[in-house]
Amino acid sequence: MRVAALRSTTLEVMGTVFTFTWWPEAVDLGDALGAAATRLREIDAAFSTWKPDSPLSRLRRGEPVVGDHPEIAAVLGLCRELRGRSGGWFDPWAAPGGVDPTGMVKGWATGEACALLGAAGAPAALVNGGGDVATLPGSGPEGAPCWQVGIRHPWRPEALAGVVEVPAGGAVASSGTYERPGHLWRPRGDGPLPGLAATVCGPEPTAADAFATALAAGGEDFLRILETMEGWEGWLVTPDGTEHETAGFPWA
Amino acid sequence: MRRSPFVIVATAAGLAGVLAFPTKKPPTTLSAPASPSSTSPTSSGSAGSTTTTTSPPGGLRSATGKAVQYGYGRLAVQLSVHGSRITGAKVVGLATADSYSQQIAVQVIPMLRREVLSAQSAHVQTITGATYTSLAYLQSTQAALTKLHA
Repeated sequence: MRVAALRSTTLEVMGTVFTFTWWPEAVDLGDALGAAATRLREIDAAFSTWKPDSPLSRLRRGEPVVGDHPEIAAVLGLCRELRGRSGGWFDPWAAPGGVDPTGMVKGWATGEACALLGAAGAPAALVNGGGDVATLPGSGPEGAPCWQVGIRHPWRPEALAGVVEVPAGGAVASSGTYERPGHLWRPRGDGPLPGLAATVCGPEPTAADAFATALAAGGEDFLRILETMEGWEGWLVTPDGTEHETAGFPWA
Repeated sequence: MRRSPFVIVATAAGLAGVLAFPTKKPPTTLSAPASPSSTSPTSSGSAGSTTTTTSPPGGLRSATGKAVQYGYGRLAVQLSVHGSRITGAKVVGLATADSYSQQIAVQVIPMLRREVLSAQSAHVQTITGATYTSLAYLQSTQAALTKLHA
């Protein structure tokens, strides 16, 4: 079996690794890659919860920053909309220590970076921001309709739990507690998070990230909501190891 | 609940020993044209001997491997192959020491089945997973892709 002639480059930013992958390999994205890196660093500077002087950190401390940072206001607006669509299972306002949109910012950032690659004329490209994947509409690698995305196995870092087909233009995001416990919270209810591993596939990366966060936090309750949403699919592993998925989850 | 993930890891490792033969093969071998008359689908596996093989003219074949002890019980794997492509893998003849082991095995098997099916595809272009840790993510991604593209 032939492996598609792809090119990839990686960038460490936002506390993780972003991978840019495009086809055909002869396409030179030099300037667009630089623009995407600049954009991601800009987003990191505004939305980092690790940098005490970032506008978001100041907002979490109750300082009035929204007026000076229209992009923060825009993201909070998106968060409000996604909280509604998720039935409250994605809730940045329920975060301990003040509003925290981290559960969707990385997905949103992958979409922003991917759009910059598209503007540079890449026929097929994807951006993977630490497991949140955005793809360009139009074509997958070698003119194929889909990208094949492996889902990391929750207990075996070297193995895949499976492969999903992501149509060009679609997105996939994962969340869960198996690698970094403690960064998620439950908007309602007590006890451990019901989603040990959660993966969501859908038409755009911002909501995919938010819904993956919601699936980890809401478990089967949110999976039932996802089942009713046109174009969205989810796969969930609960802490006892049981798998649950929506009817149309796109296993390859 | 703290206990069960660790138990499952052990069980997964045991099962992986049984089911790992397709994943251990380089994808290039899996994609090589099958030679139905001379090679049984599971002949390369560490799980060992094949007890039944049928080779109808259409190229759709299935075989059940010998039942293997895995620590918490015994199971056998039936593989279906169409041409060079693995089209199904299911556990048959599962016997476990107790109902708790049965419960765990039933939970873990579907995951491994998909892994077996997906490993035949070298066309994985990226990996998703719940991680923010850059180094671990990079290492696991590269390890998985290297394995798939080897």
